[in-house]
Amino acid sequence: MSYVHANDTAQEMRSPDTVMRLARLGSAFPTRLSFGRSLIRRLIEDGSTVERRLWSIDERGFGRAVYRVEIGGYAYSLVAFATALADEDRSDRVIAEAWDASFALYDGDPETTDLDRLEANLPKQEAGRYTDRELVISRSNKSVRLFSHVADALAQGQQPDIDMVDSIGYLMRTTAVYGNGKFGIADRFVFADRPGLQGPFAAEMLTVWLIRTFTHDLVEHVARVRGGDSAVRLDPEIKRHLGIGNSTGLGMAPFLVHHPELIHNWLHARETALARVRALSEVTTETALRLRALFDRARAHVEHWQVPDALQAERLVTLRAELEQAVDSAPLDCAGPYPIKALMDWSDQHSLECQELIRALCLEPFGDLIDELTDEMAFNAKPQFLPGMSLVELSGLIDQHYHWCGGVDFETSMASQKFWYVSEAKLEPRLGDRYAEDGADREQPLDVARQVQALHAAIAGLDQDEAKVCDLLARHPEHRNIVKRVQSSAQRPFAEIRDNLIDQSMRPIDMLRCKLAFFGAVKFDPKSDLWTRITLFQGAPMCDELQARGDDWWLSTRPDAA
Amino acid sequence: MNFSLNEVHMTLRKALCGRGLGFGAADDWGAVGARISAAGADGIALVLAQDNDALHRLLTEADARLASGKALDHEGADLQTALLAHLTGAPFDRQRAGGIARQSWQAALDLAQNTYVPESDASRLAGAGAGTNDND
Repeated sequence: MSYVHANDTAQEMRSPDTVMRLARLGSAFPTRLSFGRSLIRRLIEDGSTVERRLWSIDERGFGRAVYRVEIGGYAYSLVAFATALADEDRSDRVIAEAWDASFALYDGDPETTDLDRLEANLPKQEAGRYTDRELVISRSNKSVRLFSHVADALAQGQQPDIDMVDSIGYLMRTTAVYGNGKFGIADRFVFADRPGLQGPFAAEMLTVWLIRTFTHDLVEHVARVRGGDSAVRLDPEIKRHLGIGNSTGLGMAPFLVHHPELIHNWLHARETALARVRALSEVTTETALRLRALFDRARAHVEHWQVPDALQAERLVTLRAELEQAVDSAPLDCAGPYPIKALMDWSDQHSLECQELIRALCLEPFGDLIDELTDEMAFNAKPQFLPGMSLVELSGLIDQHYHWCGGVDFETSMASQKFWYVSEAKLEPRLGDRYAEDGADREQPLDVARQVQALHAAIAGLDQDEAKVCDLLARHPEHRNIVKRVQSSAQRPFAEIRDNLIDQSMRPIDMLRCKLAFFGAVKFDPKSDLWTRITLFQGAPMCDELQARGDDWWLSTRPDAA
Repeated sequence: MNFSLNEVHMTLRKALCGRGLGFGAADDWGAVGARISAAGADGIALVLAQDNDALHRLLTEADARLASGKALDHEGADLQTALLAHLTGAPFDRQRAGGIARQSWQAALDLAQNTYVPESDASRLAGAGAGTNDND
């Protein structure tokens, strides 16, 4: 396939002032650059196979299992423990203390002694202690309704109800996936250079994809126990539609703020990809047909994306109407000049959901033009700190990259109504009301706009022509954090969310959706402004069909809609 | 016990915040503690042995030295040397932290406790949004 570039890609890039607003980040869709997608492509590229090395699960569905996979020349094992859990203990919150299943991604092949050690720790999750052979740990709870239904149906020799499969989408949902040294597991640098695990959250995504396989095997095992010879296996089409769920709360939000360099790399890669396809002066007929087929798939996906949340449901009603309208009014045939630009421009007349969906669509046919950008999405360096920088230069950086902070009026109570904190109950991240709750004296520093304003005022109190950053910090050490952020932003314009994160109207769910879309999540199902359920790897190839199916599963649809 | 370096960094950062140090300084010292611990020493004990004023003074001196552009020597094992190495991003051998005494770790955890907000019924129910039971 060949492409014709005519425009300057850099000129086609969206501004951070447009991209980094919460409302737009909160309308993000997964793209082919999402981490689940790049993992699957890598597994396909490597010819990876998955071997179930151990299946010691009893008649009740409890016990241990091990799956082994090789990627990039290294072997990894998913170690899984399924345990009994009383209904009253089944909670998706961080404050839970027991789960239906617990997992570790083990570096290499575990011995029985390793499994025994892990069985004594993994079911306790945060209360356990781990070694650098564990790269990731996780836990999951059953979707009790769907798991029971699927097991019962299969036991009776029938396939599960497709409406129920589609509306829930997974047999189990993870409620935390821990990496990078937590509770003693391996630091990320241990494997950050290994082929296949270099990308952000690659080890976590591999873990989750393998957990999905475990959930498929577990439900078929339970059905076989219940139904004996009458039991059947899941239809592969239905099985493929069963992804893995995830419950995500506020813990992800501080991550986005604490890793500005990483966030820049994610957004910069995506925006570069969008600029590249936008600059195409024409596309082949084959590509145009592919784009149209993907549009139809996306439309079917959105049609079946049902949520109880009133606001998201309303947004989906609008999106469905816009996609219907697109059939007649959008340049989906790619017949004119700069066809991708024309399609994006059409979307810009519509809702943010529509704009972001159409952009994700526009990336999908152009893998050979943009997939290499995933190599730039990790961040393993240490940001440079320059204490010798003049305050004039620092002020210039604020003007250039933090001008959006100046418009926030912190004299009004609403602008600082919220505060982020960590609860002493299992260190669960939470959001409080500054004027109604205790704890604001222990606030986490997510108030970037307020810190920038304070820094600006401190700079104004010094002789800017003479003084340097080191002079400022000697007198005002409290600004060290924000000075480092501002300096780091000089090379990274997509590093900051350009909204006040302690405003009364701020919705953390927007931050969660942005991050989860980069993971590859679909079917966002907000349960409040503070947490959401999502589905990962829905429609992704199963472990025995990587080569046969390939990486064509963006916004997959239910089997009977394909 | 042995610890991951990120665990040392994050725990020491929280401990120093809990002792009243600003987040930016605490983050630098957390990284310094991890760097020292990677060489087998007890980075947490070494950093926590300095009070906040001393840590501020060390940072100020290091910043001024970096700003002056004077040549740096990363050979020593003292706090100032480790701090300069950290601030300039000098590479180091990242080994797991095996030299941290149990009492140092506990001291860090105790200080970190000052950054957590005590649980209340209201915060448990409203602060993270969800209920506490998910049988669906």
